[in-house]
Amino acid sequence: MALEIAKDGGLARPKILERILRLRKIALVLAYIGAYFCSQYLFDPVNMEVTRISEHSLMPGLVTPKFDKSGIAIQLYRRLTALPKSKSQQEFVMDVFSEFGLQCFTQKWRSTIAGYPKRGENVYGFVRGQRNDGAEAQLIVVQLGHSESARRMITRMLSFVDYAKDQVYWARDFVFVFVDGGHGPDSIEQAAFALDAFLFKYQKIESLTSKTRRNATVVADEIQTQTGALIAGVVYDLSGISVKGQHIINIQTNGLNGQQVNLDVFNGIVKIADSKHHSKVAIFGTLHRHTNSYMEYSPFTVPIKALMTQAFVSIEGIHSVMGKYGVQGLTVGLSHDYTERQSVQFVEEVSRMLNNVLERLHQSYFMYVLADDMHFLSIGFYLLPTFILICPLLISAYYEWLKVDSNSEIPLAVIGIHLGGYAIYLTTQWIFTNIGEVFAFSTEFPFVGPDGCNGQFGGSMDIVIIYLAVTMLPLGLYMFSIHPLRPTSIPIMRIFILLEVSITILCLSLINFGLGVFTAAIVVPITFLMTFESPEKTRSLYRSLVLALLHPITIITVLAWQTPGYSTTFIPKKEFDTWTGVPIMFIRNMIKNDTAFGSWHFYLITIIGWPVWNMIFSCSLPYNLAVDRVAAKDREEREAREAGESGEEATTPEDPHPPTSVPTAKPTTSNVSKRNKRKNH
Amino acid sequence: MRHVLLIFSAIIGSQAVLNTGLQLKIDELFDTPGHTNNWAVLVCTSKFWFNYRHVSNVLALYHSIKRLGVPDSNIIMMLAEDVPCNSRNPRPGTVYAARAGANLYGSDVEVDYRGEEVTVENFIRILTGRHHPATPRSKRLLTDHQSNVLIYLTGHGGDSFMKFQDSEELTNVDLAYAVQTMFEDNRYHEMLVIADSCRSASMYEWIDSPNVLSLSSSLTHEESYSYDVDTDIGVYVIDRYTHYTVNFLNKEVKALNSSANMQDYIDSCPARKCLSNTGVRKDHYPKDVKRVRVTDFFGSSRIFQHLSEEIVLDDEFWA
Repeated sequence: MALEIAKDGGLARPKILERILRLRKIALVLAYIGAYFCSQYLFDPVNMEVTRISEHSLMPGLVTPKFDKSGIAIQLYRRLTALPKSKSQQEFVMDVFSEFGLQCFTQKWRSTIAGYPKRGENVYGFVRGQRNDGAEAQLIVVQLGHSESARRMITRMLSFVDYAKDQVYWARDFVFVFVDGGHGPDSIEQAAFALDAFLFKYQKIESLTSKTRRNATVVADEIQTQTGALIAGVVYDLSGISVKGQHIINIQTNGLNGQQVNLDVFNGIVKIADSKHHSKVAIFGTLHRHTNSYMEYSPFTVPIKALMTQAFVSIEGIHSVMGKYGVQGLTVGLSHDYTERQSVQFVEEVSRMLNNVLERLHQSYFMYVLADDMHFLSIGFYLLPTFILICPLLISAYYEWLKVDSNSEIPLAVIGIHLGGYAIYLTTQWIFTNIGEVFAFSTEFPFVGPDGCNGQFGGSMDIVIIYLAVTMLPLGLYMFSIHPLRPTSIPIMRIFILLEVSITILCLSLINFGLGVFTAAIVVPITFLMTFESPEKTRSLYRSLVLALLHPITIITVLAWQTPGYSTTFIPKKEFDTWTGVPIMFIRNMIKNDTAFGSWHFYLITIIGWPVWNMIFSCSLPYNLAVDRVAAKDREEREAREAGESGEEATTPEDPHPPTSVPTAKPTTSNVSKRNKRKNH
Repeated sequence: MRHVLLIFSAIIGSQAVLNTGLQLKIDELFDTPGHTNNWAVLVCTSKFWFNYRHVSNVLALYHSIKRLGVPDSNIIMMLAEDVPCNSRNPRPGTVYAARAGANLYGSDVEVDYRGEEVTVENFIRILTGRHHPATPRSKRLLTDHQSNVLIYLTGHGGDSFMKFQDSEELTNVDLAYAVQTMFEDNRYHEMLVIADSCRSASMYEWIDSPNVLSLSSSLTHEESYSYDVDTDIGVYVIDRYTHYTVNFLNKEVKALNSSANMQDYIDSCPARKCLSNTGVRKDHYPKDVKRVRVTDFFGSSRIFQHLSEEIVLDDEFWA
């Protein structure tokens, strides 16, 4: 690309940028069409990469499993089923470990979050390799519970413990954790919190800083004894199914905030299931073309479900919290119809596979989208639709940047609104953590407290209702109607909004692609159209009213309502009864997941979504149209001049008769002064 | 009495056949070997448990050549991974190259370079003989101009290199320079270089030294493959090329007077068995490989050369 010299001696803008700007008006349509066809091509399993074992050391499925203690499993199951009421499952597990001559301890934990009052007792035990150095360990997690499948899984795992302790080939120790998830409908979530409590202590997070200790969301007993670094963790349950004798294993891979398990671990388990147990694998709770070849499946069902769950489901399973601690974790739902022997042999083979890993899982993919158990798309490809989608925003930002001159100022409202969002986030989090879901205002510091607190005035309120009331009000609409921005600051504001949205989407896509791409698909057109220059004030008024309806929570509510199949984990079905029930449950879950697990949803929607929504009003509302007209006039002049001078050579500093003006060349001082003159006239 | 006479006459008869008629006829089929002693450098370049097969490759070949007369003192064995003691080994202290095979790692095995000692530098020092003065004789390749040398390398390779210890590489140029140095120092009579790795034909591309026969398990653009997996241990236990090499030696070369020639050996692993095309380079080897006994490299017959002229050993020799 040839560089040209502007008349003031600096570098002129490359002409390609001018050509891109001409596409600005149709950029949104082009981007949507491009992203659609690009996604359709990329997410078709035919065009995806075939899964493979990148880590050669894993060698899954090469071992003949030798577990032969089915009788122990059955015997333990009978003992557990006949457990007297005076004895807890924790005590039972402790007794069995003790009978095996192995170390086993309990860990009591309780949540310090007032809005999420949970408590429980984990049991953990160790099987130490006889010939290793104890520097590494693998984690096996089973949920305690009274259902038949829970009891079966507990006893089968205990029989594996009995088998594993006698083997001489363990290169790393085992850490068995039996997590207490309670008996409620949210037992998996509570079990995840229980595992979080265990890992919090096991990984010594608490001792790193005293600040962390003060802010800890859980109080738990110290770990009584330690073994090595956890290289991987597998949660086992019996959630798999069997259809006409065909076992189907259910594997869950999604971690918190878009984290996913190392793909090699998933591939290894798929290989073991296929080669050793002739079982199929369902992912994201969905059957696909490999699980049942007699049915027609859309090739896009699994990828869409993968993205939806990655985007909106914070706690998919107990394993979801492992990623916070650098442990590669997933949940394996063994077929409910597996025999004791078969299910424990499956555990044995997976353990042998993880036993082969050299130090840590170095290789393979962490950022991927699965289409079925044999095809995946890696980050190098799937980011492309997001890039295409945000192009209109970047083009618009560049276009606005050309309008910026020396009179332009960064509006302080940008900082103010963001600080407001941050204040709402901190306040909500503080109240939920320290007071609970219901609070009351008081006359005494800190001016809020639980129902019945000293100095209470007014009735108690639900934090979710208050949050909705505060954030749903279009503050920006009111603020910028009363105090509109200065005309010269409007381009700056537009640039700020466009770039903030673009950067947020890109950063989000890098870590949580599902959330990033769905955000882009919804937010890009809103941001683009609402910040687009308006030819008349009436249109500005109408679009501002539309924007007032397009609150982030409103959009999420509508989407969740329309796609319940993809977000049932996120919103319980019963809450779909009313229009108010959905957003309330949504926000309640988000606040809880944010404080209890560290999910990003509430943070993003409050710190970025709400401020940006309010800031856009400053651009969508009627404004001084001169700011755009001057720029448009400059552009027309330039295009007319370029048309007249077509074929001429590029201007050089030595040119004695340079063109009259280059009005839109922002870096040159001459065109700034000329533009100011025009405005003054 | 009649049986005793029969046995006695059979022994006499067989001795007569060996020493006169048939054996002499067989000898005519081969060129007279010019070497008096045999040496072998067997190198497993890979570490890690999942490369178990590379250790068993070396050990299997070690036992074969030892059976054919090459003494431990003349074998330099380098094993990069201590597989027998790896905590993942369900049979501690053992190495097997087949599911129902024998333990290859008995008390009769002498490993000269083990673990971190297996480096490119040490390998080249062994070939060139440029050791630190403190290096014991058992770790040196004490060859001379009458030595036939077998160099066997197994591990992971790429185009023009072989990986050592997962951290460094032996390039084909390094190997060629080392062999050339050996030639210039009169450290070998004939040499057989075998590389068993992926793209292993590239390892001998730069060897231009005389009297060197080079073989590989695959061509430069090909992968090499493993042969068998032992599901009790949970790893692949031997590579195809070495498996068929050892198989050939065990079946066709039962003793030092075996009539198997090098062409038979080269043909022992066709593409349908090895799943890759084995490489052969004979342009620097003056003999017809059909007239070279396999035992010239894989055995040690202690050939004595009778000198008729008078040799005076000067003081420098005795120094």
